[in-house]
Amino acid sequence: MLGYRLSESEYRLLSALKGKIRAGVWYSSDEIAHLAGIDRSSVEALLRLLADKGIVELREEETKQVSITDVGKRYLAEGFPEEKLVSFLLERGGKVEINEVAKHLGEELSIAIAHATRKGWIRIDKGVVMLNKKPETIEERTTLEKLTRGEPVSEEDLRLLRRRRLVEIMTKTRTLVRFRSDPSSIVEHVVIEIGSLTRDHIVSGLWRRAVLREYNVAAEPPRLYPGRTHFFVDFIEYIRDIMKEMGFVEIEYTPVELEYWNYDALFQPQHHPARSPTDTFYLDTPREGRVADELLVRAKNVHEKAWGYPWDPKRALRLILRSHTTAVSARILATKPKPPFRFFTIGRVYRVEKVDPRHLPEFHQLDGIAADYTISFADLIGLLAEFFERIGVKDFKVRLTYFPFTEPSAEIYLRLGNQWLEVLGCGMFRPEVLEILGVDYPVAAWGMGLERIAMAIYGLEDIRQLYSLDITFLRNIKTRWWIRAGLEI
Amino acid sequence: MPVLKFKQERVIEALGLSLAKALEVLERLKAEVSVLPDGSVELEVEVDRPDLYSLEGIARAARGLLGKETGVPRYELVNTDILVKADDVPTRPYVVAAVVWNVNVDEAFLEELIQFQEKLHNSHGKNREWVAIGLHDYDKLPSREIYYRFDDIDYVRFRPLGHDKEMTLRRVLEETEQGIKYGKISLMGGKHPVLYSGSEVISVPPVINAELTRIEPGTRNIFIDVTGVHKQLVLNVLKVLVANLAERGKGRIGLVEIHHGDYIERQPNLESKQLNVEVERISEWLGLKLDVTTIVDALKRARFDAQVFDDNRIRVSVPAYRFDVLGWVDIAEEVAIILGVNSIRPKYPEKMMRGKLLEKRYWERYARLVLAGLGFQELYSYTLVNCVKQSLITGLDKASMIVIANPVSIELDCLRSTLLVGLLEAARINTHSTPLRVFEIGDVVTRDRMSDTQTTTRSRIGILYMAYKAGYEDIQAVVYTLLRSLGDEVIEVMPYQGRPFMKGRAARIKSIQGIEGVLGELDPAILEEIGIDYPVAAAELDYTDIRRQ
Repeated sequence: MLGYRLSESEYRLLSALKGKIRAGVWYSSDEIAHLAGIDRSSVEALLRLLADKGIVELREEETKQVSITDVGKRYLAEGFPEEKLVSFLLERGGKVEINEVAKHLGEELSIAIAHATRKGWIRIDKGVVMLNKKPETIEERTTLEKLTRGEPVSEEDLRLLRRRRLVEIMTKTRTLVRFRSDPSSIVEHVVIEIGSLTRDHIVSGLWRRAVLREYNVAAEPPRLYPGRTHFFVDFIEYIRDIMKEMGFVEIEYTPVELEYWNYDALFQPQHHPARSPTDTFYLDTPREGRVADELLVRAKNVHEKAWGYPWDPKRALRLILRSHTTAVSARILATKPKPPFRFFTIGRVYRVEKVDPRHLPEFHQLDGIAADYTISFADLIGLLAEFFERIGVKDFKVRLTYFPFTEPSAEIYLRLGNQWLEVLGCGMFRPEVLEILGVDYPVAAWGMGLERIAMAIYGLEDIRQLYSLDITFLRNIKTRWWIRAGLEI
Repeated sequence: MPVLKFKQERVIEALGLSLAKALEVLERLKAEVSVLPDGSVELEVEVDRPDLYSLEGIARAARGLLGKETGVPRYELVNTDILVKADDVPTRPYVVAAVVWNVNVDEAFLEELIQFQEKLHNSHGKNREWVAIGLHDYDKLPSREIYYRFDDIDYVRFRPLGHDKEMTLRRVLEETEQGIKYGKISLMGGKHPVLYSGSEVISVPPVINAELTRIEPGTRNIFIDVTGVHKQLVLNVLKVLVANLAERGKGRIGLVEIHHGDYIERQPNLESKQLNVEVERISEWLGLKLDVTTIVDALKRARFDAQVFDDNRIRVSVPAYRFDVLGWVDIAEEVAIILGVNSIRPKYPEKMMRGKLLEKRYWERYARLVLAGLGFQELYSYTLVNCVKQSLITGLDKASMIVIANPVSIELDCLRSTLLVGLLEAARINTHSTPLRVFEIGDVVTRDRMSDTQTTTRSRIGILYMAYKAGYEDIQAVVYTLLRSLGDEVIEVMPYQGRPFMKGRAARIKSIQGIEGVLGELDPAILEEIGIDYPVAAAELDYTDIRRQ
């Protein structure tokens, strides 16, 4: 008897039966359920488990239940069709034309004739139904009446009734159970096996007799989806932290911008191809902004002297969506901050591009400016080299290029893995730009797109994935924590 | 950036270098080079260097870079008997002209010439509006007397280039491809600029030349006219044209006299521009220790002349075709190009400076953590949205939104003024994944008459909960928990009535730390229109004015 390992529910069943049943006696499962106060379906399952462990014996018992069908009940009440036929014949002197019988019996005609003929009560000759003899009893009725009274009937009688669909016979199985020994003595010696420890086990002290079931520790756990911060926002915040570490102060401005700050202040001539609806988003509403006269005058003088075209102040006031965050740098310089200083901004910029896997009409740019009474192009490249190392980029290439607002101007290519990405433009602001903005010290500047670097880091092929609203994608993207540790990208 | 295409043999011939060497030199001249599958060479040249739009100009720079030929190139300027008499042409007042001898046009060069002309039109001529170039076979000019007039388009007849019949200028403007494209630029009151040689039309700038003076393989000498609306631009274009064509010829350029009433001038003027530069300033700007000799040598290889004044100063002559050189910083760049950008070693920052982020960043960062902790997934969406959808959600009409005049698609024709547009789009595409808890932090832009841009940027946080049953309390609990976790407290709550919320089931709130916002249950009429068949509760909080308690 020792050494039985029971589950908690098996244990609970046995405990509930303590003192209520005797060993060696057969009980039905219904009785057990009733005694234990547990519902029948779980009792059945538990008893089977107990039987497997040899604590109880089970026996199935089949019982037949006979029930009278609706037709049978009707015959009992209203009379059998053959009975009706006989009494009709008796009424009419034992001989009636079949047509008339049909009228009287309706749809029961064929049943009545078949059974009355089989029993030898009638015969039919040339369309006339004739009574042979007056019957004494009908066996079917006698059997049915016995059934109603609950008296036993013979198999043969039953078969007859079944053929006429007057009764239905259903087989029912019930489970009988017999305990080998008294539950009270069993529960004292069992070990309880539990799936998970609960507070109740601890409070009741049950855990002392409990054994926790061993897990298949290698099985896959259920999937969990935590609330998570967005990977691209995380990346942007990380870049902000690096800029802060490098002594840059964050600034921002609205992405709706005047052409003045986006282009004119940056010495980009008004006929420059980028200043057209094929490259820049122009606003329908609102259309025009405001700039201080002094700034307009300086831009006019500088543009006209250098480029030789009549500079149109009206054009400078036109509102656009900024095409680069250098507009923000221009704005802060126009406030004439005292050097040395380092400023940065990260914001969205807009260009007329169709949406495809490599292009979006909006993306993010980081713009940084650094000024000192002596700051050089070599300082700028040094500052950038420091920045690249901090984001985990070791190799970069510098290539001279042209921007209207810087001289020299350079593009920088970063090696990320085994691809070279052109992500950055930089240079020293031209004296013309500084003159327009009213600044008398050199300023180094750079602008960098963030999307392509983020794509390389997160292994994305399609730029649109950075803006995906698909919850499944966002829940499943992996963080790249090691990037933040400054490890090589 | 202008993209130019040349035949490989022509690159090798013009530069006198092997292809590999030629490509290397081109890279150093700031051009991006690629060899196309058909063997031709494609160059992306910067817009500031129109002198590199033709192979002869590139070769001139390359010879300098390699030290084969240095200093300002000399061209022989000779007088011609050509006289341009210019009337007042109000829509296109300036005309200049020149002759370049011995250009000797062949098939390959003719293509290059057309490419050169077109790139100049695009980069410096505002697509012919400001400057237009006419190139003619000098020897086909019927007369040395050139007239520039503003004539009635019904009375001018000629055979336009590439057409087989003579027609009126009206028909040229209205029916030919070029006419339709450029015919309106200088047309006014039925009159248009016309250039005649004697009594024959040779060009109707900026539209088309006459067949009469067509340049073709075999053409030896070229007559150039340049017309436009801004004098300096017109002169600049002429300078670069003659200087590059003269590189192909034997360097002989013919001067043309222009009479504007009593005002007489002779063009082109190829005099070099003189600039004084300081060695120290260039050194400091680039961050390179440079001495006078290095700079002088470099500038000569950049095809400038350079003379030493003293230890610190150099007098530089800039050839006329290099009108991109505006001042000493451009000289500094030339030095960097010649020495190679890699000669400038990065100087790592040494000065310690105190960096700072916007204060609101720290609020954002905590807010993101709290919401993630509450099981909300952060989203990041576009700021370009559809005006109609935004109207549906906000109730704003187009006049009070920020509407783009030239959107790339009508789906993206407004700048967002609420984060709910993106959040509801997320709800729409994620109905298979309820309950959905999402949020977004980002900027929206609204109208503001007080601002210089007529707009103001607001920092917002949007939160959305979508479920089989999603109500006011669900979102209210999140908002209150968020604020309290950040040390804030709601101080004012008022029922809110307005889109996209349901009446009686939304509120406007204010907090001690300066947050304002709305929250509530969304109107099912709006949800249905968006295509969402689950209840949604959402909030949008504005933390632009966040302040510590």
